Amino acid sequence: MGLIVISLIMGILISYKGLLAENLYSFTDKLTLVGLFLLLFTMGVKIGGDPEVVSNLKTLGFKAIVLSLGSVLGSVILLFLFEFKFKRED
Amino acid sequence: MLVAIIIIIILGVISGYFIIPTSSLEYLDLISTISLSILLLGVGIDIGRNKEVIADLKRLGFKIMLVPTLIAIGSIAGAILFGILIKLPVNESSAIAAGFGWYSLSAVILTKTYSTDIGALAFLSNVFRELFALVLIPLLAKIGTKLTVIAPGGATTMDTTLPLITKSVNDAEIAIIAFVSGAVLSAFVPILVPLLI
Repeated sequence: MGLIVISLIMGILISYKGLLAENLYSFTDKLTLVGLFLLLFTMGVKIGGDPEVVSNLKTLGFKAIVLSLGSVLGSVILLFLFEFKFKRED
Repeated sequence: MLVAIIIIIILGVISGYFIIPTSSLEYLDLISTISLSILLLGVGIDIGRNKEVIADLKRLGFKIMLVPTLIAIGSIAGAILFGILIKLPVNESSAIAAGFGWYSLSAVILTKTYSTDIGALAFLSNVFRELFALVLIPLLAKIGTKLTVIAPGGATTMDTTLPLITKSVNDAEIAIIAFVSGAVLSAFVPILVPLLI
């Protein structure tokens, strides 16, 4: 948690203050991608090494659909109300 | 990108299941800690670099911040409500929803800082969110809504779902709002996910 916040803020400061040369950005992009791929791989290893998660994959899939439906509906409803109100004010 | 991501996860799952002994999990933890800091440093650099978004925000007025804020509140509230139906604790459902469709980042943060199964759930749920968005964007545009078209995509409206939004709603202003909203929501992800879990 502390690590996440510190890394994130460092990154924002570095680029916002323009501390990196413009041509270095393609390098940091690649570095980010390597970090992401390594993490996704270790995530896979943890899933594969945990028999409980493997046997739960089916229920996880169902839960995932329910949650994403909730998120999509919640955001669509709120924004729809906002748009409607906005139009009436115009 | 999604294909590459799925292949890498499957490779990991296979190695975790067949090859890598559980005794090496300590090394794995070290690798993932280092990778996570590198990843978030890169994410931070990306956020700080978006001066264009900050300029757009100033030009359009901070009223535009209402769009990503409402999308964030709606996504999290909706997932909490639906989460109760499947008996999921509020911290888990809200943190998963705060991925806003950015499946890779929310999943790795939750796997690393919380638990493997919630990380896997975050990955699947946020992939589904993007898929639902791809179906809903043209539908919402067809029934004549404009701003609402931005909602289902969440953080993805700055990249993967943006082309579909601009194609479905022929309005340059909506495209800019969608981009700004996606960028703001993307910046929320690494902050809100650890905060809510």
